[in-house]
Amino acid sequence: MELSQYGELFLSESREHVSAINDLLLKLEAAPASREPVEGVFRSVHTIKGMSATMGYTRVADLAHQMEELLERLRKGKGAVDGALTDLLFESADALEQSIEIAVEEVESEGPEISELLARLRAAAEDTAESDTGGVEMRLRVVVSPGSALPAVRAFMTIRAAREIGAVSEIDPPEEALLTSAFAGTLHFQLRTERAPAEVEAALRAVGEIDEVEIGAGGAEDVARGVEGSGVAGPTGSARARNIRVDLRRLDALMNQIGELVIIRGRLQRLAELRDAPELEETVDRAARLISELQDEIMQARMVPVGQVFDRFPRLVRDAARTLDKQVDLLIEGKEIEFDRSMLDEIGDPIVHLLRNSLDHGIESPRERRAAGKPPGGMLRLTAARERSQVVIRVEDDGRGIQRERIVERAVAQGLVARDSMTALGDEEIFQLLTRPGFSTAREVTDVSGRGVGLDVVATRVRALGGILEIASRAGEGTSFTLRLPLTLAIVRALLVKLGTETYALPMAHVSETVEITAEEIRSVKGCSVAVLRDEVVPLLSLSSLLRCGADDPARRLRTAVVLERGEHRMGVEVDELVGQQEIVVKSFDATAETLQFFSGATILSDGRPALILDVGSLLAQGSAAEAVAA
Amino acid sequence: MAQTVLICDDAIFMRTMIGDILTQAGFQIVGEAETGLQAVDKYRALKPDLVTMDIVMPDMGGIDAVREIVKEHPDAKVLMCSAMGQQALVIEAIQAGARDFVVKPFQPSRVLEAVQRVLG
Repeated sequence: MELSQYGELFLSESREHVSAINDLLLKLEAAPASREPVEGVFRSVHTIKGMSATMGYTRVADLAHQMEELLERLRKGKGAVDGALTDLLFESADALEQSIEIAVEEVESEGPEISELLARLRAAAEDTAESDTGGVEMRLRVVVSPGSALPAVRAFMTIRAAREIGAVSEIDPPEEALLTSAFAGTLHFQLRTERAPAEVEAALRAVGEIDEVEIGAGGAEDVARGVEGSGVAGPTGSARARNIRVDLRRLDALMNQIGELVIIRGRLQRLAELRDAPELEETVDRAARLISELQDEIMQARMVPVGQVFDRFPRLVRDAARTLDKQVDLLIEGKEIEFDRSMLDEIGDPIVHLLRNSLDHGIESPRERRAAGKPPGGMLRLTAARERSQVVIRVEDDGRGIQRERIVERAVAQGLVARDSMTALGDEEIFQLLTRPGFSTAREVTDVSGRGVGLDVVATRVRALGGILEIASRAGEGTSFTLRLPLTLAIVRALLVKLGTETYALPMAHVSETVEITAEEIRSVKGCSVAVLRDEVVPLLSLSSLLRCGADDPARRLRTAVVLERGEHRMGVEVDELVGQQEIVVKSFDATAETLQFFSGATILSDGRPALILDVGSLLAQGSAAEAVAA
Repeated sequence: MAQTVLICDDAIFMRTMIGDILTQAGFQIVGEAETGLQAVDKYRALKPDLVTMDIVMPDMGGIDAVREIVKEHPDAKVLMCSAMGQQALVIEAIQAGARDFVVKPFQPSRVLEAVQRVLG
């Protein structure tokens, strides 16, 4: 079917619209009389209907159509939006999302049973036909006094006052703009209300510092026009930057290639130095600068605002809070902070776990909170901020906090630490015990947070990204989890080798080959071991003697060696075992050259254990020294 | 009988200024608070007719204090006091439940107008 090439595009567009629908439904739930969310959801559902019908995804199209019917009635002001209706819309949005994902997988026959949902949507639409909300459409023009110190706040308060007496829409300048940019002083909006114009004027003037309130008639036609005309616009409808869609895999491939280029740049520079050819050095320097710039540009292209991931949380928190019968306010700050795309993909799940954790074990039920003298609604705050070269993401709640004693008891019971030494440990260290595998102190694993993603997995993920997880808490007051993450990653392909029980990583760029040598093929020349590989004599050093750990087993017949190469220098490094190749994230560490001579960094392997990265340069230097002796 | 006021600001200077403006207009200052926490406690104890609340204070800021107070006492009448240029914070304060705002430096007439609007 030739339409299949549009499958990806349909999927990404639909997902954006579904995300917009969720956002708008949350807004509608918070302010049921408002019109804009209804308009927005209607537009998105309408667009999805069109796209899915074109693709032949009839199930999606049917559901979208039924939702559209209901929304059409609500748009026209027939029927009030209440809790039951928003629940139905949320449920429909979920079903829509599921049907879309399934349709694209081309297993439509296995979709969720939606005939019951369709019937309910039809019934809701018919109900609205009966209750026609009355009221008159008015066009409002409000001028804030130029003497006001904060006119934008007065505009905001005006909209709020209008919402108390009717349904507000077509706000110009848009509400979001009031928060961030300068407000010229004149506000326009549409109001549908049953109050008389005189009452409306009085209500708006009561906001204070209002000079003029002008009320005009009508405006419904503009609304209809607005819908048709914006069929092509994106789900948010706001000014769009000039962007193109790029497949994420392309950016990943670019990332890998630039990683390789960076390593080759080092080689080129070294080679140029050795040749002692100034022209060559100059050219190589210029190339090196270009490669650095290219690296920066590619890193930038991969940066994405965290808001993209944070956007799905309000809905998540709302649903979880309802399941647990708790009240909670989710505050999100720092949505515009940018982060590397692949890191963003990685932190999404850990943050979800931390949010669920707070909801489940942190924030108490309204009854418990009142008994503790706290307001019945809990506060959950998610913030992202830039601190020099780190991104700091924090999840905090004002719940019951972490009980140090329970952790101590559990740790002692598990035999992790002796009780006496516990008193010497600070709170932070005690809390970190929670990140040990299998340590959960939760009495029961609930629906909400018991998915098998424990705090230990969160901690491992954060470490694997080169970051730190900090835990702070005050019993009875609340808890905060802070993730400190580096801005960017360096991803390198490495060969993992084993020496005894330790695993080390060797950047693949300098690995020429791996060989197995029999004891007979190893010669000794002036006290140094060499191996004969094909026609070449290569110094052979054992990693265990270089690192001074582990033991060499002379009885071993078959030995494994990794041949390193840089320019003309080749050497073999004998190890116990080859583990395999892996892409690793390089994290540099603070260590003086003398103490960790042969290492250039560290990484966390996929099993969560740390591994040191061997510095090929210093190993080769040893090889050269040996060569010189043997020569 | 004079209406009662609770003044919340971490600077004695500001508390005195607002206090003077309101006293001269016939209000009775029944309490002062220096931090958001104190503001919440004192509101509970005094249940004043009006509260003036500074936005930036140590130990729980003004916005959080407004939120707490309004959660417990939905009829609370809070007037937010802000420095110049804190537009977004004032909007947050209104969303949290403050009824109106004034901007420092205070002009007595503006303050009293705002107080009248808050008291309704």
